[in-house]
Amino acid sequence: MQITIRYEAQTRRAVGLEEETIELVAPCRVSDCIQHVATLHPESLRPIVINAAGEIQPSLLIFLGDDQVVRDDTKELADGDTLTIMTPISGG
Amino acid sequence: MTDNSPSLTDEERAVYEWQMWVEDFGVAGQERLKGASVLISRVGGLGSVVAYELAAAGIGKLVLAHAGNVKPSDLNRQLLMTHAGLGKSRVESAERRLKELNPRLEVVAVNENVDKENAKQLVEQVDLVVDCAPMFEERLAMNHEAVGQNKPLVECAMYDLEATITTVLPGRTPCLVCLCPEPPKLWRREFPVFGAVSGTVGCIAAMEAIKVVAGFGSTLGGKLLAFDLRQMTFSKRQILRRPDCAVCGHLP
Ligand SMILES: [Zn+2]
Repeated sequence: MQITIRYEAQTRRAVGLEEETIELVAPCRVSDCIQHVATLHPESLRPIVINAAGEIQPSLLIFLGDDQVVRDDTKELADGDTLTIMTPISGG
Repeated sequence: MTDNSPSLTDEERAVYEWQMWVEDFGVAGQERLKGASVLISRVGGLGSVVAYELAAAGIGKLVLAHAGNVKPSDLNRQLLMTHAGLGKSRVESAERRLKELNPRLEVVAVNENVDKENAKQLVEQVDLVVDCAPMFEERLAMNHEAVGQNKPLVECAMYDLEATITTVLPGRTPCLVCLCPEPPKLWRREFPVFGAVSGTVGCIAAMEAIKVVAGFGSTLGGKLLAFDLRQMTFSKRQILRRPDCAVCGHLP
């Protein structure tokens, strides 16, 4: 199935893309998808989204469509879904 | 927010005439603004514009917290600072510029950034907080105190040509810790941004503050507005309260 990954804030700068469409084998949960995407960009993206313990960073913001999902959400992704990942940002 | 708001003078009726024509705001909304106070954490790129718009709209009192002096790299976005003010106090410059626009405004200028020590007494002075600070430590301290004192908190942020904004209504919507349970390790105080981006976010934050204080429209409580001015895309996303949130999880 095809999933569109949207990169925002620091993840966009790291990957150099606003979005990309990737091919995944169902069943695939949010965390499986993000772990997979991290392997596609091991130098640039992985340090931002995966912590030293190999888990998704607790501060990473994840949206399935327009709804936030937590990193251990058990929902399975469906063909055509858009998953947005962004780092929290601040002011100045 | 409270309804023992002060009544308006003839001068105020003249100055705020156009916005009082907004039907669900009106004279009552203007009186609520006059009776209200807002804390702005840092008057930089975001906070300068929030403060200027609230001063223009007739807020009664602003508490401005920002340490340090004006630097050249402030001037692309910190619109209350001026070239002539380089090397001088940021909050003094902000107070002077705000009072040139609105001499009726009460300003409390605090030459400090928000931290765990001063957050309590700063939040106690106001009805609402707008957080425009760059460091997550100071934002988390502000969130902790605003939620603890049950004061609404407008959270605004930017990066490059992107920005996010949400409004925290304690106990009713996610707070900053629900969104960001620990400070992101790779965030830096200095980051790419244009003044036109911070200005856009600042105007939206000021509008949120005005709506919350005057009680009209619908706010970004429970929503994250995320936009990208490079592609001109705007999306309003649903965000989640964490039942185990260390700051607001115990609230009903
Ligand atoms: Zn919370």
